Amino acid sequence: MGDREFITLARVMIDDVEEDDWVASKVAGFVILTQTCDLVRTCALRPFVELAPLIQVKQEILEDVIGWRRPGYAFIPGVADKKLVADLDRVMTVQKVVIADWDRIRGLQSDDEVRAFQRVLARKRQRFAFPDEFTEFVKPLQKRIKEKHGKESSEGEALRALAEIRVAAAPSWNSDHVDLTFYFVRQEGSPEKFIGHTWAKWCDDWMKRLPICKHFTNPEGLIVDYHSMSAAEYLQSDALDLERLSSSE
Amino acid sequence: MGFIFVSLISAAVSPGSSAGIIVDPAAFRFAESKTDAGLAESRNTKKHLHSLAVLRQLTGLTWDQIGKLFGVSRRAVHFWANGKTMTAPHHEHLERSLSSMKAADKGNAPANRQSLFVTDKNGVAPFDLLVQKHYVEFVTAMGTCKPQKSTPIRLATIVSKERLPIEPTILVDAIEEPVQSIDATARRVRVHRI
Repeated sequence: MGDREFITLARVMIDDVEEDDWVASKVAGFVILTQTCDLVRTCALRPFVELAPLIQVKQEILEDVIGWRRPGYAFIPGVADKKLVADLDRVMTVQKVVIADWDRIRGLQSDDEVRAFQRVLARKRQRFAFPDEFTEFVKPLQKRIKEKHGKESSEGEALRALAEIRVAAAPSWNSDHVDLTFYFVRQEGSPEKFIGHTWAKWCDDWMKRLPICKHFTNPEGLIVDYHSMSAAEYLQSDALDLERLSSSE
Repeated sequence: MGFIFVSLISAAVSPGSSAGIIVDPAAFRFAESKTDAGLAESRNTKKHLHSLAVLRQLTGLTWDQIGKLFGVSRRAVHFWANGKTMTAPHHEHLERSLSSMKAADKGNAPANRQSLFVTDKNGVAPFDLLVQKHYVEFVTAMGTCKPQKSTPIRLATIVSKERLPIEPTILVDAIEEPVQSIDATARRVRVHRI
């Protein structure tokens, strides 16, 4: 790895602008994002590889990354001792020949680490782009979850017992009137009651947080688990985007 | 009505039955008991919550399919599932369907669900019989259905855990990185044009 020159894709506009002026900076190294099956194919068939730069972060940020709280960064166990993480905001593509003679450190050792890395990449890339109107519509619910999930209360316990929140839009997100179904997916083995309050109570309460909206009519909430949810229901719904609620800015 | 129902069950569980199925008589006794007038008083109770959950666990039916079973909208089923009351006829149909399903249980939800929709030569599936409230015929028909796969997938706990999504409580605490200021200056680099 070692220090490598990082060239941004943005062209610099300065007084004596020339087409060949670019911003360059040094980074500690790169992580290859391309999957091995494509990496090992010949350059004639697959000439490019995808890279993300490694950057050094403070210990507390590294701990955030390990705890899945920094979706912009990926934890790379092989270089964690140097406090290096992959910066997923600066992904680039280069020809294989560029990296052919670089020193290599194995960043991911086990299947568990590889799978965790895949999840980080998927989290960054696979998030469903909900319509802006829906994003506004669901904000009170998101705010409530953020405020209450850490509390030692009935609601806090219920929120911590959720595996996922999904939402389905029928007939489609583009329709004039959209029927929404929210699936509050319980974790396996989660309790039936939380300090005397049932799942049904909290489901009702969370749904009441949603404002009245002429576009999203009659939103329904449902408590389910992965055994009672059909594959069709899972495919027809999307994970609610609960990120982008806070920023370190 | 109760008498006719019991008679049909006797035929279904008789040793000479060609269906070759094992029926739990207790399950049918339970169904029979639900024909009592007392069932009519089930309105305003929430007993159906447990039964509905068990039926879903046994069959893996979707909410749409449960709605079809009762001839109601999915929205109505959602209401029931969230604790709203069920009418007495619907409750009776639920309990009878559940006891019939228990009698025809193939051991796991995927196998039950597959069997529910295997059609006979007339294009009738066991699920259709249940919709029509032909409970005994339903059990018989289920007995003749062979699901493609009878054992559920059992992943190791750690593998199952790895496949779960990131929990909402972690997602809401996600911190979006600010745009990074790169410590760099503009300079000329060689660009190869193709």
